[in-house]
Amino acid sequence: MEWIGSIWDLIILNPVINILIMLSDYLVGSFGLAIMVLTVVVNLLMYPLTQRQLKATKAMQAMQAEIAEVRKKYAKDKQKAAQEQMRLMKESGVSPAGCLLPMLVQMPVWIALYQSVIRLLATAPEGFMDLSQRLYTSWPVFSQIPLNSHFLWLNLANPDMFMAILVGVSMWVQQKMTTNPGADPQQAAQGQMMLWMMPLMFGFLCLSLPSGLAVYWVTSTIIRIIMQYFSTGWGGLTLPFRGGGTSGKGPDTKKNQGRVPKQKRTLSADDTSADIVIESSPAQEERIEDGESGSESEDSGGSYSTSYQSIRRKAGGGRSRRNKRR
Amino acid sequence: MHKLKKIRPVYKIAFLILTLFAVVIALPGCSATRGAVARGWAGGVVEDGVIYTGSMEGNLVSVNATDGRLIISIPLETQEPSSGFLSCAQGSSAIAIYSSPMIADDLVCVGGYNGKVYAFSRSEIRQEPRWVYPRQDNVGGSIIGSIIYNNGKLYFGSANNRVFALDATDGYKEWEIELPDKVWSTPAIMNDTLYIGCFDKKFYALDTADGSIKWEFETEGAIVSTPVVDGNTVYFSSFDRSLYALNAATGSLKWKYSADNWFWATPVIYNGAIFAPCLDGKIYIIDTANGKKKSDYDLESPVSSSPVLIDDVLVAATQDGVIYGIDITGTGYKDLVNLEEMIFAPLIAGDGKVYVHTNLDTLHEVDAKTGAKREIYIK
Repeated sequence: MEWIGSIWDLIILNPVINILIMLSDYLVGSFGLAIMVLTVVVNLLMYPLTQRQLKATKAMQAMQAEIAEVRKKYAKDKQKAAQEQMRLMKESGVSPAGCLLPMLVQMPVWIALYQSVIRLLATAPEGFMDLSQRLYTSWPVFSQIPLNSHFLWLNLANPDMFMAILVGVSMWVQQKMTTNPGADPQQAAQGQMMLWMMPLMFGFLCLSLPSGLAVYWVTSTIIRIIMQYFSTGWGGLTLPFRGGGTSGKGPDTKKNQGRVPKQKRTLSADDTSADIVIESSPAQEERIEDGESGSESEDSGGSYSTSYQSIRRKAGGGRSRRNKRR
Repeated sequence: MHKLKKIRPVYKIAFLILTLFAVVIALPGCSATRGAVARGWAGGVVEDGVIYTGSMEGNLVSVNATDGRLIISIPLETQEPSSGFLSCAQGSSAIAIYSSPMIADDLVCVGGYNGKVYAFSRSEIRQEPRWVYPRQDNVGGSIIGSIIYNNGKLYFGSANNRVFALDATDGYKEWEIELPDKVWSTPAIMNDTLYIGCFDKKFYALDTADGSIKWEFETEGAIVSTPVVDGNTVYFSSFDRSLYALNAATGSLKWKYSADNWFWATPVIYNGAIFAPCLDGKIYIIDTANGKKKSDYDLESPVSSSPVLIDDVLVAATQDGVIYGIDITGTGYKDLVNLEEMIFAPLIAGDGKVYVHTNLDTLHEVDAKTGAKREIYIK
């Protein structure tokens, strides 16, 4: 197994370490800036993979309602249900591997970045011994050691509470953007689990790891939030300044999660005098909520596909209904 | 009651990946920080048939050099482990010791990674130190380099950018001087001048009377090495991978020699040649007059442990545990023994023998001529 470690060091870890030192030298000796710049560069290089992952994830989410219907339909025949699910996925050109494979490919890079940061922030003599065998003799990196561990208010070698919180919050935002607000109860529960698990886990990790890593995580997460926004929009994130809109999913999206099928449901449309009452199957609800651009659909007053014919407007009835709900 | 919800395969896989990610982060992180966690690698001294060293358990240890019997093992102090959530720190509360114990008359003194200096009586050695500096708290930074003794005073540097001079009798501070960055270097003294390197890439000559700076010399890298003074020349190395020779009185550069890695260990000077071990795995033999390389020995593993001269044999240890005997008259070198343990600590010379403190916290006695070894347990 030792040879795997050697190959890893040779091909991935040592280059990243040396590049970080060089970057730090070019960026007025700021290791914090070097971490941020390398994170940005790596994320840009990974953009095609990230894009693919985001799209695949979104496609999977869009299909959840149909899958739920299939499951319901073939509740007693699991084999058939599985076959139907596979058929659905095949028809839509969606594969679970599409979500996971890019994530798997990216993991080694994140791990290498992580290991580099933690090694370069070594404070004990043993850390210097380790570093001495990783530096390229043909690069002017030896004299850059030790790197300046001060960045903004941080000592990058020590944990920082604020950065831990920032990591947790930024990860929550990113995770929230990936959640499917119109998911069925099962999916919603799973989404909730993922929504809180990652931010909490990484937030706690940051409480005992060098804050240089937190800089890396926060930078990386912010980049992914931006990428995600341009790729799939705000997703499940509710922004107050957006009038409660979550890509057109309405402020009561959360309440709507786990709704029983075939019920009447009021979507928010504060700029209209009419409520949009949807009588639909969960699959239809799902599609509406996960529509390519839900808010645009509302504004245009119905650009949904022909399968959503049960949408009707009730003039004047919306306000009172909303008041009742409140 | 809600039904127990089944988790979909995609979420299961995603969950597994995330968990794997966390584990992978935690484990290599731990192994990475293991290199950064201070464990200590103290050398030592042999005096009156007794070996003094600092163990990785944070103890000052004395051993009978004749029979290898442990005389006493004194914990310097215990401290709270600095562990946090999911910390890689081990449960031990031992203080790491990098500073090699040294003898100051009846005292044996050692500095701790916790930023304190401990002085124990040698004649009536017991668990309590005769004095500790500072009495409360610590000097404000770790003590990595060793302490040196000269004319009744102890001198040392610390990672809080300071150099201290203490009265050896009672441990009271004579003076302290603040430098721009950390001081890991062990000082060297010649006449009334103290030579010491600093992380700010400068090498300083200080007045031993009050710590005032006589001269300074700037290099291109941090300086952690221990200087060696020979005649009117002071030798030291820098993280710019160069070995420097300066005029000890004025600080002017005589020559510098560059290698492929850091000269971490303290070199040995003999008969117009400086034997400089390097982390590139070689021991360079350089002419002290002009800085030209006479020859080098490739030991194929980094040499971070300071070598010692025993008669006409320079004994050096590589990090991978091989002990070499180099004939300083120029007839070559041979491997004396392979201890098969990592070696970082400076070697200890005493009565034709070499004592090697390994990373498994074992002391090995090696005969400098035959390579015969004996294991001494210091735990």
